[in-house]
Amino acid sequence: MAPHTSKNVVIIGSGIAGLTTAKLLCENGIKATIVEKSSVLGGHTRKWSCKATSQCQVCNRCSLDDVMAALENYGVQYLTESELGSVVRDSAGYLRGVKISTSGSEVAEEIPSDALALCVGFETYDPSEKLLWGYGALDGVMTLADLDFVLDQQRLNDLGNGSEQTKIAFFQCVGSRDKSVGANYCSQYCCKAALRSAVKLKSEKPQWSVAIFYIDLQVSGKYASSLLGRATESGIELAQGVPGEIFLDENKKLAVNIEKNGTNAREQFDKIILSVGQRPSASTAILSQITGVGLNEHGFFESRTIFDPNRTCAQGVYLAGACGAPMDIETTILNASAAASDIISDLSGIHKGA
Amino acid sequence: MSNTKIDNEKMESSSVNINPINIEDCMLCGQCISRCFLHSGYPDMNPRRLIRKVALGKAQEMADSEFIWACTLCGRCTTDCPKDLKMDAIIREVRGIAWTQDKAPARIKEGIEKGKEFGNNVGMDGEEFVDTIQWLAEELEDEDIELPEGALEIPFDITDAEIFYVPNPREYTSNPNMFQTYAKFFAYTGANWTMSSKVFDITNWPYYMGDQQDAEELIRRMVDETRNLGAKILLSTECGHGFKILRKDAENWLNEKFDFEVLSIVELAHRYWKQGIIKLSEGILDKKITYHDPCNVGRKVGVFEGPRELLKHVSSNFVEMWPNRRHSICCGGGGSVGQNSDMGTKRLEHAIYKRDQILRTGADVVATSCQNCLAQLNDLQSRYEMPVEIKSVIELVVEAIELEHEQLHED
Amino acid sequence: MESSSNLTQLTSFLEKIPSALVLGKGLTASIAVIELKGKGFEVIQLEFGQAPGDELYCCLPGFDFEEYKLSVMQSVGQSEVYHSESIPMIDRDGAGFKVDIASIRDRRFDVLFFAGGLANRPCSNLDLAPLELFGPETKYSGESEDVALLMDYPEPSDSAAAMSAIVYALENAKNGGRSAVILDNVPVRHLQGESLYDSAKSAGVKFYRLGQSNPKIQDSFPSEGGNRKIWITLQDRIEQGSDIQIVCDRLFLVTGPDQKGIPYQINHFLGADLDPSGFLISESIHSNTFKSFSAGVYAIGNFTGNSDLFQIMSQAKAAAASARAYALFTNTKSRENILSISEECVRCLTCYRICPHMAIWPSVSPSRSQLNSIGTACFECGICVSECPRTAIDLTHFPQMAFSSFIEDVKNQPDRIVVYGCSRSAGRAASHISLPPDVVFFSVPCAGRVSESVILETLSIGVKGLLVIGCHHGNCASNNGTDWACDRVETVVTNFLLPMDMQGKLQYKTMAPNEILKMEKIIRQFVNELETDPQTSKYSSS
Repeated sequence: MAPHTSKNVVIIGSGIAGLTTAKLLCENGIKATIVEKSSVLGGHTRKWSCKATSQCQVCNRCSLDDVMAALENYGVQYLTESELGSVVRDSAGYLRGVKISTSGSEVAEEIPSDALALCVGFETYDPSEKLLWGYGALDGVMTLADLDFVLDQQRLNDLGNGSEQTKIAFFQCVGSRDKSVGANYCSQYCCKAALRSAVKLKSEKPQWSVAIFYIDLQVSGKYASSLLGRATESGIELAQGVPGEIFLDENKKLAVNIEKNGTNAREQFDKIILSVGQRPSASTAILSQITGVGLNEHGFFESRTIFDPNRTCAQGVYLAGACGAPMDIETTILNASAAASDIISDLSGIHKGA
Repeated sequence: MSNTKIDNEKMESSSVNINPINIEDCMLCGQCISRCFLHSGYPDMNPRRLIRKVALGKAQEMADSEFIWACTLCGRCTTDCPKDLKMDAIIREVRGIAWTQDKAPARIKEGIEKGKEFGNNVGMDGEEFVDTIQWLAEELEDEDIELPEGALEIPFDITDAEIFYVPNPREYTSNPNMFQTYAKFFAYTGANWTMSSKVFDITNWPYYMGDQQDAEELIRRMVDETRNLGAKILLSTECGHGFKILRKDAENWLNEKFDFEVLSIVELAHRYWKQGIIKLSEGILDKKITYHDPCNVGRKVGVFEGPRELLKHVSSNFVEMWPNRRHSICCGGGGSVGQNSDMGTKRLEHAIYKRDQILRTGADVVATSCQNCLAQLNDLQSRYEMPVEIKSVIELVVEAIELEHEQLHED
Repeated sequence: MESSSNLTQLTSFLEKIPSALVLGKGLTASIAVIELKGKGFEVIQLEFGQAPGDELYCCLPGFDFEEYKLSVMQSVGQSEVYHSESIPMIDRDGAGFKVDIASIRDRRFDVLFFAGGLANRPCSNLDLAPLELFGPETKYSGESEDVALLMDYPEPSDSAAAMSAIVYALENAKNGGRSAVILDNVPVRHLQGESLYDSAKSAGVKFYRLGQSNPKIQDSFPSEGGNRKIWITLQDRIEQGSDIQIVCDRLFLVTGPDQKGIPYQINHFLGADLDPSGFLISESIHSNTFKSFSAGVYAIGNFTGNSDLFQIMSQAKAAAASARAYALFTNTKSRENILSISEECVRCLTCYRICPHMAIWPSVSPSRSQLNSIGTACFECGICVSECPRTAIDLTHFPQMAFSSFIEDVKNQPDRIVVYGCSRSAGRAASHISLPPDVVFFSVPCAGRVSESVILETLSIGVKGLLVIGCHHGNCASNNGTDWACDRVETVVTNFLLPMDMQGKLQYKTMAPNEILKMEKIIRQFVNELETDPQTSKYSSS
């Protein structure tokens, strides 16, 4: 059968949000053009590692491979090293196209577009801003992303100290829920990511000790029982309270002063993993200027209303994924699917209520 | 709801509900726990638990504890607190409960009473003060210093002098060398300054007790005297909390904008150096110097770079402690702890973090710009026999100036 | 509603108007109906059982939930709604469904939506007379009261319910009431979650952290006059001091949707597609929380363990778009010959029972019942092919012949090490790695296609070793294909190889599509083990 419609949607960003949006649109007979700033597709998800132990931990990393494979069946146009230059509207104000500038090319290319989906994701917080965590200064202090690289490279032994007594700690809410660094919100992904990583470490190295220092574990809901259950079963220590300072003790080991079982104590660690929060991507502010989509107090894109999280005040412009609010991969897939759904409804011309 | 209701039934008078600044905002993140230098000194207490107790209506328990007197109000634990709580403000509120219940340390109480009566915490009257100061200046004149005639005469109650200098009582009691150092500083720089025979105490002990009314009264006197003298600069000696209150709190407390400038003598020295009034040769002091940020001067007011620029200039080898600036570790003697005889020598035992930090630098000299820090660091030096000298920034500046003069003389 | 010409425009490329059956009542079902209608579906809603409406929370303050509900009800407009005492029998009709209810027996539906509501989970470990369950219908009266809200007790509360309870506490505190929230972890879901927590704290809501010991709850009835009071005694986990007492007029327990309310009949057409807590749809990434492994079956809302309005809205939208794609696919694509069932079939129903996608369905007829394959629902995993006792089933794109000729090829190359890998994971990664010279990789549609007979046949030609690579347990796109492979390898090793001390020769490993380095490692290790001491190397199943 011929293509079902002649509609085309331009998607800015090729992370899991952009690709998921594209996939659902294509499955519904709508063409998609994906515009990616960098030279590789896949966004943050590409840099993640699989967290499976003897079983899948639903980290959703491989969703990226699945969605990319699914997209191979459709004629999706990928424009890498390209950015949105401007939007083209007709006299009635309806979105008709976008201009895309590609690096190395002087002229911005105009692409007909019936809808524009902003899927530019997030940036991770740079924890070196809070000096006392010692990121960048102390060997052994790393971020979740650094840990993922090690896991992905199958270099788990690099984390150990050569003995069986390796101790690893995760610090939650690094750059999240923190007014002092301008992020008074929960980044939504880090508790689950840290728990999964911790379970993975424990399953590969059962003799290591792994602790997670948290403020409030955000794992209620569908996955709570299995994830928390696995963490508890595997002997991961869950400690309320996140140390605010890491230093080298007299043995040149990473040390933190904490409260343990109601008493102040000092603990040493070989590696400390900072679960860094999500920040609006640098593209967000620029795209806000270009598209007219506002930013909220935290610097993420503002949706039309809270009950309509994927549409914006700009006609034809939609949001998907972490550029509207911080979220994990699983929620991003759900959110991007909802964005695609709104686009499908709106392009079908059938009025959608509520 | 809840506890207060029960408490009221159970212990009517002892339940105290205080209203510390946004204490309810605490989300128990626990960052403060690991930053407190009393962590090992008080294994069963930490900043978070204290806040928690106060928030749950158990402020009295804390008001009766030793912890609030061991705390130096250094504020390091709540530097970049995610909810912007200020531990020093909270501790002062809790101390306020003890203060109103007459449970404050005797030495502090005495100081505050003297302050109310005499205007200074040592109970010296104006006449005695002027005599003491003049005697200290005369002693200086016996030294072999090249200065214009009359440069070491101390100006009192001069109206329309540019600078009104307020000293710390240590300068005319326990540590007269410091006053002499400042007098020389004014003489070498040819400053247009005066002292007052009525207001001559920069300290504010009621502030330590959460006694807002008396704290404001002391500030009011100082501000009135500045206006009375018509000074353009209200100059604080090297005193952490005194300077911090004048610079940061005074206008809010009195709810007015000052028509004069509040400066610390270290800032003035830096300014004079930048203006060329003081000329110092680079690296003139052949010493490895490190700088201790006083909590009030550094973390709370933000004076970090001035003293460092001066020290880096005069020292042949300047080294930093780690952590420094906003995250500097308290000397252990601030917030009335140094004056509190009830605490005995615990302040020295609690200060091992500072000791280790100093030793790690391998410096010959620890410089600082607060006389309270200076005293505590000196005590630490002798207690732990640290191979370092403790100097104030102004002391080093004066030392450098004199060395310049000497060298000039030799040439 | 806009003009019907648009509807025609939309549906002109569909061969017929797609149809959906939404099972459930309440807001969730209504949202689903709206989303489906918005995509051109003809929708019938079926309310079943005595179950309450759904438990659904708008967990952020400052938004008019009532107005939103009203707008949903208006948008639903006139829909066809039927009632049934219990969940009816549902049958496949091709890739679609039909339902055994008199009024709609003749209707065919392209997709099924489970959008049922669940009641609150009751308190499991304490018998507390004064305790009320907090639910979406718990409305703040506007009167100031002394109220305590107990959460995470004993297991974590649903975060949307917990946040709604905090909104309640906040409103009460704003009105001069006293609110206490007793919990383990403060829920700060959504971008605005932290602000909610902040406003509650500054309005004077007290948050207590559950300690090691359970809170003691007592009821007091004053002898005469006065109000009955509830006394809660607890220790705060952070404060760790003496017991704290809270006195209140009302005590709410905040739980979450109770999975026990999900009708057991659902298993009939959902297979065992449940998560570990018993909510609909497994945790698999292939479901994305709204799509069942059973082709054309969707679930949203309480049935999936979800009670957050915002998330349910996303679920409904995503499911509707996915359903539209499914209807489009099944109505326009001809895939009748994807899977063939031959005359050898003895109607043992094995394939029907094990197909994870519900792509094989029996049709019952007096003359001759038979099993039908539904091509458009089929994922071509081949699990049925592998398990059919009569070898009556075959895949068109990956026929039995493919294995036979591969094995025939290998037979002529002595000392080969054969790797059967799932096309999704190992198959994709294989193109990125260079295999050792004696290793032959063969991509299979799903590890579940590697049958016992294929394993035995491969071993019988004298290969040096056989490695089967599937996706990680729980990560199989056909739900349990990789588990089938695991079991079969284990069975063969135990029953056929163990006596011959050849366990190391046959192994099963798992990996994800992106684990290219891991695949290299798996194969390298396997080859090394075979080369070092094949007789003693241990059988391993990861």
